[in-house]
Amino acid sequence: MALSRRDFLKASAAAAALAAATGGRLGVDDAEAAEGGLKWGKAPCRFCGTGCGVLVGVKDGKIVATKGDPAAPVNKGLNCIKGYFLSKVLSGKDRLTKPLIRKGNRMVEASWDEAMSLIASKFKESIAKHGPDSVAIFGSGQWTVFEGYAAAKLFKGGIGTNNIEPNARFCMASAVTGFMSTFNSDEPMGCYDDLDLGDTYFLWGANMAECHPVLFSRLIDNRLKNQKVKIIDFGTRHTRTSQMADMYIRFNPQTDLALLNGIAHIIVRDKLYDESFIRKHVVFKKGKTNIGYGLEDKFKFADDPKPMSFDEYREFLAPYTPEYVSRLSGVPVNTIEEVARLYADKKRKVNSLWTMGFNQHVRGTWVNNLVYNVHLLTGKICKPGENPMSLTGQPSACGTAREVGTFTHRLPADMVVTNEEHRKKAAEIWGVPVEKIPAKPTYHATEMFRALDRGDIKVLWVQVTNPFQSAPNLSRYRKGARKGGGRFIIVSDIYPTRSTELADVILPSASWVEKEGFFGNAERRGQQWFKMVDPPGEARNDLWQTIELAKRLGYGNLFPYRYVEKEIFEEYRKFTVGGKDLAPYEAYTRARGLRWPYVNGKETLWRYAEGYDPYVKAGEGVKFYKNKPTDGRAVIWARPYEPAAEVPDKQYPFWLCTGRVLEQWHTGTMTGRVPELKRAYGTAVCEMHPDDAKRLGIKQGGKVKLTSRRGSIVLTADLRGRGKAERGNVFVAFFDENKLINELCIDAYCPISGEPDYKKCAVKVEKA
Amino acid sequence: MKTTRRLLLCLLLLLSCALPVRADESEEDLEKAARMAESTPPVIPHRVEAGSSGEACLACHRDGIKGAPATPHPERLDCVQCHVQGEVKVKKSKKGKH
Repeated sequence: MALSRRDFLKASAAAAALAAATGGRLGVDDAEAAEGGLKWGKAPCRFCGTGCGVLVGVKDGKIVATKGDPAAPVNKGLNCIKGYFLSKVLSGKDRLTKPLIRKGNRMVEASWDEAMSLIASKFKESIAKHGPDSVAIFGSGQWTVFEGYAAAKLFKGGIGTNNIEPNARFCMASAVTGFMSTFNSDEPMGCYDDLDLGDTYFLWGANMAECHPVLFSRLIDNRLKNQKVKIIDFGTRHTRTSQMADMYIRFNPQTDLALLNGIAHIIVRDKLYDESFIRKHVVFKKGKTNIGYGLEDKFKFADDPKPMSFDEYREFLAPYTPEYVSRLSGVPVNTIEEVARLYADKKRKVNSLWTMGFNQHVRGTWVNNLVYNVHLLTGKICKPGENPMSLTGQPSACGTAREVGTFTHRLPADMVVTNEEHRKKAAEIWGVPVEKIPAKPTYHATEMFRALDRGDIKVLWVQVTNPFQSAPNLSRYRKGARKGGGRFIIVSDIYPTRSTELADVILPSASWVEKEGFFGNAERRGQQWFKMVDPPGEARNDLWQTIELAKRLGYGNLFPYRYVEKEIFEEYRKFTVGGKDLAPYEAYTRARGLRWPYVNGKETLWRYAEGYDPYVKAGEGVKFYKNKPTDGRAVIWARPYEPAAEVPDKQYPFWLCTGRVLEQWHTGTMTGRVPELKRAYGTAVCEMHPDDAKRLGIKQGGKVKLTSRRGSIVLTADLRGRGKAERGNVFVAFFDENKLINELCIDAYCPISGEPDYKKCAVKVEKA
Repeated sequence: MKTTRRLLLCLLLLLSCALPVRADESEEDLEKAARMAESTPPVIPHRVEAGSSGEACLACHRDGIKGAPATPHPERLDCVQCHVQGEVKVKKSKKGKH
């Protein structure tokens, strides 16, 4: 039944897209006539983790048009505004086109040979003097799979250091540790089809209308077709998403931990759980408590999981009464009861969706665990239309950072450096001695920038991201980068950024369809594209840059490829057999993406579910087969409420939350080059509540000064913008390179995931 | 059974629209897909209250009253995810917001 329903929905959505595309006055029009002679190619969008399919029109070696791909299952022809302006993103006037080398305060043009010789000499010198752990690479979920794989192979298998981290540590790491601790395998069981098939959607700390607009459209579309659909938005700020939701539930920052335990409390108290599901598929565990905030350099934490019984779990939940949770969270008791009943309602297909509100959280791993608890208690998981779903922010945060494993502790496909078997397997596929791969992780992202500041890391190469705008407690790390003392920073990018300004060498990169690529999105869908245009000037892709360094360091033998992209992919694919199986490269060149595990020519829509996942045997129903230590069961974790690292007090009485807006992506280096997007939202403002503003004498459009213990900034006050701050809260977007709000953010992080909390610190608000 | 049903559905869709929506593509298919795809959405040439809903937009744009262009997709309610604030062509209102 589920299948035919899905087919029907797919068909009707496609039909709607067609009708829209062909019937409209604003759709196909005169522009079409001017598009003769275009050659069209397919690619996933360059921006977020949604992975919309885009058609790219090329004429005379230039991208002249991009369109939402009607045949792409993710977006069915729709794009968000960023996607529609993709054609302008690569052609800003200030594209970097030549390598640049620092001479004093000036950056001087150089040849590739000069730049790469200098870089290689700095790597060699630092490794010889201070050892391999003195050099590092920092990338992101904007790395293609090939680029991330090559970087991991060179650093872990060649140079012999685990000093590789992605921006994903700032963004997705808590989602990963949540998946790992609950299911022992990263990435979701569900997929975007759940957006069409479910009827109850809880959004937690996710402003989908702005940050995942195309997926949000699928939700809204679903609600139009099905009156039963309810969208419930849990937030600390009223957003465009809240506005379109059926219910907006405001809660005090950090109390999501208490709310989820409160929901579980009611489900257990009233026996609303699925007893047979729990008996067959779940074990209970507890870990350490009072686990700290990582504010000190070299902070270390190791959890100590202990098994517990259902009864002990029930005792753990006992204090989380609706009354107690209500006092903490500010959510009325009745609402908590109502929400718990919605979660448990056997007639409802329930989904939870979340992004940075959960992940950028000093208890990010815990809060990910807690939402899984609710789905595991009610058995609403691994079924078409009912799943917890972690959304992602970067185009290949999943495909590259998480699945290739470009983190200090990781090896490809769920493997870790601390496991000897895993190191052996990686060494064998890479063709390196196993001793080469160090068994100990070094620094996660925040610690990596601390190590650079202290001088423990001397040479840092940044590719495909902008950490000197995106790191928390930014001033410390920006100063650290330019302290001298043998520190040497290389930044590869396509435009000047707040990171290139701190570099000793800037390398001009190729981006998106200027190279062949492969991204993996949030629903396990891998998408390939071919090179369609040449990069400008002497710009070259990051894959070439990494392999060029490898050659100059004597590791050229690790990259013996002719068709580099395809051969790297096929080598990486060997790691994925056994549950994360990728399809042969050729298959992706033809398809609008494929969801792994891909076995016997078929993609998998629902993991761990019989009839969908090829690794689940007949009769098993659901099997969390990746969790071998618990005999294929998922873990319900007892994780308590603990406060944020820094809470408002007399001196700093407001919560500061940071985030994104629709028109700008990440640090705005690409979207900031598109005049239409810049005009629509060009400068970061300070959202605040009109009552707070009035009290402080601040007017709409007036200047406001925010100060935290780490920095201060002057912004324009916005009291009636698209997002509405709650009393005692202010919100600032982080894209604006002229307003470095991250200087105010605290670099406290989740001790398990290492992901910083960009959503909560204390600030003072004054009229400026 | 399921496969046949799916095939039938696909065929029906293909026949009724005479457009190939399928996973595999050749250059020709991509060109066809591009032809049926929508162009860049126009920006909004007038002021919009922050927080106005799709219903507010549709008050004029559903049928195209007062010279507003009619939308080809009135079923899409999150208008501002594609249509962003452009240059305001009408005279600046003194009470204008934003």
